[in-house]
Amino acid sequence: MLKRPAEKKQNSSAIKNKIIPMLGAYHEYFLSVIHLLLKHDSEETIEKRKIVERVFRKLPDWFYDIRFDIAIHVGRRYFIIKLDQLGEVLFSIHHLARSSFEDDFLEKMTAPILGCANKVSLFFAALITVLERKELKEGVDDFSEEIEQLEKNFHEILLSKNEFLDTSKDYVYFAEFICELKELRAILLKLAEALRTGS
Amino acid sequence: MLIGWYKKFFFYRALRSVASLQRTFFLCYFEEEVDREKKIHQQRKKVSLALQKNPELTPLVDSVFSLHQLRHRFKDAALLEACSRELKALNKTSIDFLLGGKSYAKNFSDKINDVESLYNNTLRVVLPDPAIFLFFIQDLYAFQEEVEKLYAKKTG
Repeated sequence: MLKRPAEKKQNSSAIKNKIIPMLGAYHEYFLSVIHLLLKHDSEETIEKRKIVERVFRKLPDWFYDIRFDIAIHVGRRYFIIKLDQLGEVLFSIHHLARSSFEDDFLEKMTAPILGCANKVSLFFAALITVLERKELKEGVDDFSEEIEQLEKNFHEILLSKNEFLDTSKDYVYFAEFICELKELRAILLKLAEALRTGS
Repeated sequence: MLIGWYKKFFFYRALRSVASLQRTFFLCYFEEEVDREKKIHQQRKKVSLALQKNPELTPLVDSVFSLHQLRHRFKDAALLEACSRELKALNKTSIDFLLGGKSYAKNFSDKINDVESLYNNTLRVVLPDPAIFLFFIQDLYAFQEEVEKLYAKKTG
């Protein structure tokens, strides 16, 4: 079925007006959650979360309709579903970041966490740039090395304290935090791949 | 008095929307449905509206999202079948606890213990990555804590 020009125009403006702000809001929210984790300061996170919810409520439901006849719609639907999953991962990270980890534990984790946060930030910015149909000035780095470093530091702490993962609530939460970062990475890569194949 | 009644009304309405989201997430483990993502999205929107009036529910909602990250991590049909009884019981008791409060706390707590036994006796041996279930159990306790906190605030 051919789309009428008006519908086409409406769809592409919906992408621009709804998805880009959603990505932008998730980006800011992620950074505020990392700030909460490292500095125990929740004020900014509360504000950024409100923005996420406000932008999220504006996403139209028709994005989710299954219309197998229109290939471009299938691609958009996939993108939106991944974007939703991204939100779920960020809410989960927020939940974990509320835990008050010990200061000396966090101190050993700060450098790789900030390394991850910077790369995630660049990733978000690159996705937005591509969606805005602007030219990417430079390539985007994967942050698997930073996650590996984080994992390594975490295991060293467990070994030095002669502890198992399930002996402390904080350790379980931190292991889950690393797991969420891996999922965040997987989703961002899929979003980038979807944009690459869709363009 | 009328303001108090309205606040209570919106609070319980918000809890019901969180309960619906919880139910929709739990159904993911038992049923295949084509437009599942659309349903989750619509439930999320209702929860989002509820958060606008009841921001104090945010930690509870986040614990629900964290809990159900399991649906992306745990996809082995045979293993899901093996723990379907426990998951179904958790679905029911967690919603009862969420909507009914203290009088349903023990029921829910018993079901968490059942899941913990299942993890200790079976899943930690057979799962390729047992940590994912450990995260789930930890998040169940977090959910329980958040509901307790909410009711303590409301009644305290």
